[in-house]
Amino acid sequence: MTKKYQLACIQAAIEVIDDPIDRDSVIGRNIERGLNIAETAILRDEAKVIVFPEAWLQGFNHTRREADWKDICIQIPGPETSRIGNFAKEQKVYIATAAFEQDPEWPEIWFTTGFIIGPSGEVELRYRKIHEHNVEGLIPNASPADVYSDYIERYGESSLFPVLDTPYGRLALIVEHDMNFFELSRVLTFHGAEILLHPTAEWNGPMVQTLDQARRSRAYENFVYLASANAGAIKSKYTAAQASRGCSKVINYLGNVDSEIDGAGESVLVSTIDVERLRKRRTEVFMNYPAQIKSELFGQEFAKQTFMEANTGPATKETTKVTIERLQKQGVFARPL
Amino acid sequence: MVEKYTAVAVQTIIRHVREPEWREAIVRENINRYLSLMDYVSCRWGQAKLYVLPEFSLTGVEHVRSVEEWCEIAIQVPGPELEPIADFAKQNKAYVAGGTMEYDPAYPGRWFNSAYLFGPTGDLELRYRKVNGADVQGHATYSTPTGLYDLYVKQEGGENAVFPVVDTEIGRLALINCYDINFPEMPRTFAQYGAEILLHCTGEPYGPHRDSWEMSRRTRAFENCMYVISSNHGGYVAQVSGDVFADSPGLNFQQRRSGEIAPLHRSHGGSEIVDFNGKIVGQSPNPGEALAIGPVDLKALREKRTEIRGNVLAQSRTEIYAKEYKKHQATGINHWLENPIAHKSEARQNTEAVIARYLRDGVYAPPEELGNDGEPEKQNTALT
Repeated sequence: MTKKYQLACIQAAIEVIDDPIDRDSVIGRNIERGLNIAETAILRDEAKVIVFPEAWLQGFNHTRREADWKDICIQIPGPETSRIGNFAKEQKVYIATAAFEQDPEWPEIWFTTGFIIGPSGEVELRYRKIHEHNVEGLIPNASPADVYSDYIERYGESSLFPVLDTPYGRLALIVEHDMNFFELSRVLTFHGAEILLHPTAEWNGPMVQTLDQARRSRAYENFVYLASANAGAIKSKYTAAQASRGCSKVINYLGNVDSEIDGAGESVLVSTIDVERLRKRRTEVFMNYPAQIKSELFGQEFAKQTFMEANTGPATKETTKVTIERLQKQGVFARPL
Repeated sequence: MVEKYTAVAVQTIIRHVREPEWREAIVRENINRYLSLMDYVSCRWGQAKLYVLPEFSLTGVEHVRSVEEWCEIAIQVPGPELEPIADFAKQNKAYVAGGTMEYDPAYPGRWFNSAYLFGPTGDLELRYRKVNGADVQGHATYSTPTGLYDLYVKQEGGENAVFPVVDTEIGRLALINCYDINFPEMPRTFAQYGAEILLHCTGEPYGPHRDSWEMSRRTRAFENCMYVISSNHGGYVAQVSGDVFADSPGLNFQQRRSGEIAPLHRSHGGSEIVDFNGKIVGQSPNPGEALAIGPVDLKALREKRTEIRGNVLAQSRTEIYAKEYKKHQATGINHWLENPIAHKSEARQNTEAVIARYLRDGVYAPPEELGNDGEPEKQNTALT
């Protein structure tokens, strides 16, 4: 067990697949550039765990046609993860990111999927993003929650909230929007998570301050490290180069920011993860939230009122609309004045 | 309905009941100060619709008191002590909330850390009893509804009595106390019962966790699309004797100590009104007596809840997580169903037991300084 080590967030400049025909070459360039930067973090700072933004390989293109999305998906594991795996094996590091994924055994739908590749060179953890923006009409994919019963039948319940025990602590993934939903980080903590790796894709906008606050809350309420890696720049015909807000951060288990990048731009952030101190803090009674939570009580309460339902099939804007209308009808939400 | 109105977190220096026989005079003095400050608001700012006072706002707090003595000092809700507050609400057609140590004869041998809300009719609109705190921390001996859950829900008429919400002309209001804010599950459960404005009666001292607690308020507001109004103490003072208080001039350290269990500025103040986007719209950033005044825009909140983009509350996946919470064993309920808590160490033992179990079952990984069984190594063993 390594008590203390360096973690790197790569705030990548992501080239977007504007045309599906360029899929392989774009992914190839993104991987090459990203791993070169990672190599410096490894040589210079001895980084052992490396986090890349969401969509590091493929980029997010809001003009992408629904039919094209599947064409730019990768398989996990697949040739792209093998290439990253060779690097991870050679450098003896863990690498995490999230990509648009097509599972060959489930051709009807596709996911946004976080994965961690370890020094074995293999995909050691695969997590499918639960809180996806398909519910806002921004991406035409599916969340495991949308196909919940089918999903757990195929992969088992434990596949939903995976945690990877490593010499660098117990790693888990939350992807982008997931961070706004406290239940996910809490459940991962219940499953043993100590370091939440957060590949993200956050643009500038009115909510950036709120997102920074929420990141700190997630770390604090669970005594976990939270490492957020956001895109630093976007290379696309259709996107402003600095639309992404950058602001990659490492937040410690007391909810304090250990290190951060101030804004956008291609960059790298290396920060210390002190697993031993986290573990010691968790043995103290004082304000030990993950131990003091009345899980049984809240499990009982949460079962009484569903916000967004599971098993709706791939969610869309309409799913959120229907949910809001139902909540109004049930009296959970008051109708606007 | 009132679409938009002014809310006020009333931050005061709380006077503390040291000797039980001073109870009446000190409770009255605390209340008089609230009334003066609330009157000041109506003179200086015009009518406010909602006032929030801090936690244990009538008696102060005393961490070393016995259960029996607390039952004697704690007040009943509603009860004669709160009448001036109810009258203020009625005269000003306003809502007034605050925290208090409470005794309820229906639960002999127990006391609660509660919060109340009076409305424009002068009636008690809500009574909430703190769910998270002494029962896991070991700093006081109040009972929590979950500590006697089976009895409590039977006597109070249902499980939702633990999470009361009231629908009013100024929105759907709910109360929480202090430590409750650190558990995101609390405001979420209130949101399930319809809450839109969370009145957070708090008592937050200075400490390393201060900043993170403040983040919690804002994150709760954002993730539940609700207002959070946090009213904290501005300070804390005890009576030494007669009409001499620990902050009276001319007292030496020993005299001050005799009445005081905490420094005057033990609390950092920092009362806040946080809107449904998690942004501060009213604040008194410092300790001392102060008012955090800000707007509550109920209309905007309800409109926001109909939007598809960024509607984190509607998008939450309660259903799949309920199962996970149920499966997981952390702190349980009904610890004090048969016998009321008698000593605060009983609560500490609760959390110690969960931590030991977590270390055993692998929810927590043991630090290297601990043995594999999760028991801290006896560091002085080598010396003997």
